[in-house]
Amino acid sequence: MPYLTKRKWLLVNCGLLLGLTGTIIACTAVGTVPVSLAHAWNVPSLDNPDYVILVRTRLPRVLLATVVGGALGVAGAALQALLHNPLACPHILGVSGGASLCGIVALVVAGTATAGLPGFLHISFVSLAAFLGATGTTVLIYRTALNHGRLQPYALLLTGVVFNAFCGALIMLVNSLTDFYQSHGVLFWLMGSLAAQDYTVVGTIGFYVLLGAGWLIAQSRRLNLLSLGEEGAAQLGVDVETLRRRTFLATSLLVGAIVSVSGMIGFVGLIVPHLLRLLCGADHRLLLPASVLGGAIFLVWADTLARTVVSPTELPVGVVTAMCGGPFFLYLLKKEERRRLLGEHV
Amino acid sequence: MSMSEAALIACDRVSFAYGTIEALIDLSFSVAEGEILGLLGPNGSGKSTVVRLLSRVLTPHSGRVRFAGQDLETYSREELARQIAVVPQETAIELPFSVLEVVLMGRSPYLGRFGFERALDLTIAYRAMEQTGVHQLAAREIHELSGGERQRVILARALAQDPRVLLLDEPTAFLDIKHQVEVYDLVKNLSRQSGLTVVASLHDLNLAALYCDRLALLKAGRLFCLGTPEQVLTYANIKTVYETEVYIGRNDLTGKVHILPLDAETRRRLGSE
Repeated sequence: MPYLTKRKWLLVNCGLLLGLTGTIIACTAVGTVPVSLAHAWNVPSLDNPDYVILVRTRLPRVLLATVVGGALGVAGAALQALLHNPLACPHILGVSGGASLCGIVALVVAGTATAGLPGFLHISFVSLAAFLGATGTTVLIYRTALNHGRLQPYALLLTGVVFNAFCGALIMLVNSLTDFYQSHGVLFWLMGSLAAQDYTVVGTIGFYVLLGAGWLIAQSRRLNLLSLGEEGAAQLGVDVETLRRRTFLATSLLVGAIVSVSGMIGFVGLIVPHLLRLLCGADHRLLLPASVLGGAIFLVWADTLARTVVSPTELPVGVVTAMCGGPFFLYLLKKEERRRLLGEHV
Repeated sequence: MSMSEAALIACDRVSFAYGTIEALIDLSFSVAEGEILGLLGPNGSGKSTVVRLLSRVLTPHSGRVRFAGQDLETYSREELARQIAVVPQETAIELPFSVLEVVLMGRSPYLGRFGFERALDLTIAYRAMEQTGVHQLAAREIHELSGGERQRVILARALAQDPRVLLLDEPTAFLDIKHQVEVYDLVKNLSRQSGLTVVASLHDLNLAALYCDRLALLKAGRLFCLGTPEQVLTYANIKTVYETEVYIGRNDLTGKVHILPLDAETRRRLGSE
């Protein structure tokens, strides 16, 4: 069927949900230290090292990867719809960079003051700063790429890449000025990491991600219409200005929330929606929820690879996603170019 | 009943400017139900602006646009989308939607927030695709199509909205002559059979003469003249508005006026006579 039916919606989402559950179980079991799932299950006590490793170390990390991956996947898909550009994702557009910069500044300026607060408040404080950074960046990039009411796709990507490099440099600057080892090293912000987090972090961030993703999914039919262009969408009954504002805010909420606990993890929002479009079509009613699940699966596996491939050392997870994402971006760029040329000649 | 009472859609002393550039000045006209009105005028005369105002993408700076007797502003966007459909000059769709998905987008003003299309929506979409001859392309990706095919898909999407008014903004600018004629044949047919009201901006004067009931000729944002093709497409009007001389004749087969451009040599010769 060349359109979205309820059956297809259920089939794809249930399939992905099943895949995610399997991924979480499998990746919790895998690690540098061999542990027995059965033993941990049978003796759930803190005296049992298998149980401690699984439940206190690995599971929160796998769950954090789930939350962060889901957020990156759906934010990428939504930004691609909003900007009419299949090459958009929070990392490439510099949204993650802006969020990281504001997050790190907030930590330096007021981190010690809020560190005494309950965990979820402290995380929320940093998230709020990162959210503001993400919103500011999105609006800035959008305005820059807007030329006489039309989005210039290449201006958009260029501005994003330059802005990202700029933020990276400023993060390095803040890091060297403040000798900043408060909670993470600079590598955490630049390459991303999902290490050393607890359930409070996962729960708090999970809450914001559910909020943001839910809000985006509620806009999904309107996001479909946006692919006809801003005027086309308005002529089909969409209030484009409201839709744009909501999508900006929801993606910024997602990126702001996750950047503050995982740093800049790139390319998930690029790879995942693209593969899912090949699998199940472009309709955002399916693509958005599927990108949450698919992004989660992808990042859990990427992080598992990051912590096991050169064991006992660990790679930043951003290294793994960038090594997949860089070449993938080039491939997409070429493909888009070809399609654009073809479109002009037929 | 006077013309203005029977009007389905009308501009009443409408003015609009893009920043400081005046695009339309004190424009008034009305279109009766089932009528085909052609908007003519040189580049930049305000044809596309009229289409944008009639579809409420733009709001007039003064004057009103009325639909079924009421100000356009009193309708919600979704309500309007069930009454008025637009076919733009060109639509660039960057994401890989299928043809059927694009046509089904025309049904969205009839669906709820999370709604999936019902069997009825599918029937209407297929009927619209058959009307524009793209039903065999239903499963193809929209990017794979040629410009002409894509435009007929967009027309099918507009018909799937089941509108009372169809606004066309130079819809056949990039089509070859066969597809141009097919599009207007279809539009005229729908107008005659189901009372569809059409407002079309056109560049091609001959197509305008062939298919439109009345023509509105715009010059620099003002209505220069309004009437039947015979009344509007005269040598004098065209010379004033387009600033060029043309040959005007009558086509024996259609009985309509037709317009042919003249080259510089002929124009010089005419001038000396």
